Amino acid sequence: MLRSIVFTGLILAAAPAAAQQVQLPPGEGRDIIATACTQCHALNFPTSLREGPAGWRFHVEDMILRGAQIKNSEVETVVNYLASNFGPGVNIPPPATRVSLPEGEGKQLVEQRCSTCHELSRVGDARLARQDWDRVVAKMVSIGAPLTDDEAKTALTYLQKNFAPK
Amino acid sequence: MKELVRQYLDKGISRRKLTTGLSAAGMTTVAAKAMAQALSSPTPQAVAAAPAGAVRDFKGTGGAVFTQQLKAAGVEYIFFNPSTADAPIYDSLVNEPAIQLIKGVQEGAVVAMADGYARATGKLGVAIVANVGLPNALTQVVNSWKDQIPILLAAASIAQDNVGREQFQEYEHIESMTQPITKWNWVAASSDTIAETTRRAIKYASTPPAAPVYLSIPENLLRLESSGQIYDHALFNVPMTIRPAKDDIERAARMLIEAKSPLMSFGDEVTLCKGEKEMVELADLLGLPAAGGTGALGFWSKPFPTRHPLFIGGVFRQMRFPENVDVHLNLGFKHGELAMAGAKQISIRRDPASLARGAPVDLPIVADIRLATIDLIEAVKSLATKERLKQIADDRLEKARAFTSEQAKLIARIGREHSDGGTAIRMERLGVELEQWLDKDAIYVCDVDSGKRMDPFMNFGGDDKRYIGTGPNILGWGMAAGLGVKLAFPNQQVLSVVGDGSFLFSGPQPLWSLARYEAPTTNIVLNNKSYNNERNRIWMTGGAQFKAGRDFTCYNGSPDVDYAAVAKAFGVDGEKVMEASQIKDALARARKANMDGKPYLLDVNIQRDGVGAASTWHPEYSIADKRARKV
Repeated sequence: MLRSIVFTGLILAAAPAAAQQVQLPPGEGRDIIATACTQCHALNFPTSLREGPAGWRFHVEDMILRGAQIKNSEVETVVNYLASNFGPGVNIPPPATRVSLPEGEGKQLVEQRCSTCHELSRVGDARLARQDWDRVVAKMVSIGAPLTDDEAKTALTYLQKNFAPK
Repeated sequence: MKELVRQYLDKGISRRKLTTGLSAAGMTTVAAKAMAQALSSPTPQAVAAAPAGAVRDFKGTGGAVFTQQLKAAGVEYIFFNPSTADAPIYDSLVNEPAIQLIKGVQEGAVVAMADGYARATGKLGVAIVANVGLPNALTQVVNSWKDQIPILLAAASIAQDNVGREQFQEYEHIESMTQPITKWNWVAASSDTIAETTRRAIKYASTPPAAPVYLSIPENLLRLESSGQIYDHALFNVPMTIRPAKDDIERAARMLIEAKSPLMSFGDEVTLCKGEKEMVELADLLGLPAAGGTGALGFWSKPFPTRHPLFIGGVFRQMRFPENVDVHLNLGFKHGELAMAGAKQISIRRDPASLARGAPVDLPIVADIRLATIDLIEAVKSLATKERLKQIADDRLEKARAFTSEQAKLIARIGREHSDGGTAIRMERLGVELEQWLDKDAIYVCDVDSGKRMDPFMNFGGDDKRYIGTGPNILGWGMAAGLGVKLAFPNQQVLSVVGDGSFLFSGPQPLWSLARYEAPTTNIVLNNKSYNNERNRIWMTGGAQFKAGRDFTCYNGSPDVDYAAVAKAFGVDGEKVMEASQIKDALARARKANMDGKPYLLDVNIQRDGVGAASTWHPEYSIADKRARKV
């Protein structure tokens, strides 16, 4: 936590220059973000993330609780803007390395849906206990992973079977 | 030049040699004489004119001279951890009931206790630590330095004959390591100068802008029988209650009255000058929206009532409310001077060194914040009729209220949404519960970063709870500081909140002092098993850890520490709080323990949140597995 505090201080100091390097796409909410968020940090924070509406709502409320001047009436606009422009599947850079997942029911789901927000190496490298996979999948669905309940169960079973601790 | 001054103060050279030396260093004769005069504080004339008993001769060991001068300066508590060399100091207190020793078992905890006491009272905090453990103390001196808290840090250094001889626990020029984070550091050179050097240390630490100082007294001098003159505090106390220039205040008053969209920011110097009440009066008089804190560059006190309709939150370069600020008054906030486009900036600061340091200031004023605010109020009243001022204030208040009432609804909604149902304990839920549990005059001691998200759900300032934290500096302060605060205000409820990260920084050492001295504080460990903010900030910008989903640095859950069990090992009762439904009853048990005169610790299972929160992955590495032999 210590280093995080120092880190934030550095971001504050660097915010104006860094903010100019990131272009936000047009849309309702852009101007609010361009002003309110850049008072404390650079815009590469929001633009580097991919989250669904629930995930973005967490970040927006977190910033409000820390002092960001976003009004009650603007919260929905800001969350919608972020979820639309920086949601699952938007502008994800190609993976640095090709990842081959083991065959099995759920493989295709994991390959297609999980990779809308992050690289598949995040799955390929993981070795988690059953309850940890439970928690990870639930969290991913809660922040916007495009999985129905049944699909989430299938993906979970696949992950628990193939990516358990060695 | 510093060496010349040191020799003079330690009576190694005469005043004539000092002035000659200063002249040789380039000072004019007049300036050199003036400096020599200033170093002789108080003047011989002032000492001669002092009331009977205010200056008295004292004979005893060097240690006794030291403690007698502390006592004469009003010091009631010494926070310490023992070392052999310090023995003459503690020997001198065996029959001295006026000073109470409070022991810590690690130097960082000792300084944090003294710092908490100093923040709560505004008085000097005195910490005496083992010489060899000085680096431990410095971790917490950083907080005192950054927040301008008066601390006298002292140690008994090795005997003078042993300096430079590679002796036991000796490392040369140990005092120089304190230089970047102390206002002054000194090594007493003779037993006859201990009283004078101690006074100087107290004066430098306490004179605003206050700061830590480091005083080292060699072991042989502490043991020597010596004599010295002990001065009452009034003879060397420099209060620095400076009134501002009348013209400057009138100009500021005129600007604030005529402004179309004024803003007032405020900071810790308001607290240090005890100017909270006057600041609110000024805001009310002119309808000034009041802002404090800026993102992580927050402040350690909350001097403006957080539920006041004029309190709008943080201060930023580009305010979304109020829009188009044209006059910005900064009252005692070192991060409050901001280059706002189109705004004239007035900054009233107690610390001239940081005034106008980072942004242009149109009207810089050095003054005591309380006195300047009083003068500003009077000037405003003299420049406009009551009716006009009321009209101005009402118009501005109406706009501010429209903003702050909407924000209050937003905060209430967030709190409500995270308090209805669900078993997980979120910060928001705990903040709402604490607001209901805390006494209105409670003191909330905060040593967390991610836990600051709870702040908006609680009321601070005015006739409500008092907030004492640290600036965004170093962790490991909170539990020990809570003891210092409780010592200062035993009749008020004290809650100390730390994260699991902070607990691990300080270690369990503060628990020892809490148990030893029966300090009835409630201690909450916000246990999310992570450096949660750090992981969020690292992962938000992408990078290899984010892409791989591998948290190489921030996960603290392996091993999964049971902080309540740790507390019990030290004699502090406590419990784990695993679900939201358990919070109320656990807080009730904490209150009962406090009422019975006991400290209590709640290890609260806080939900980890943000980017990568679900992952418990961490680098597995076993030293046991490296072995070729099972030894």
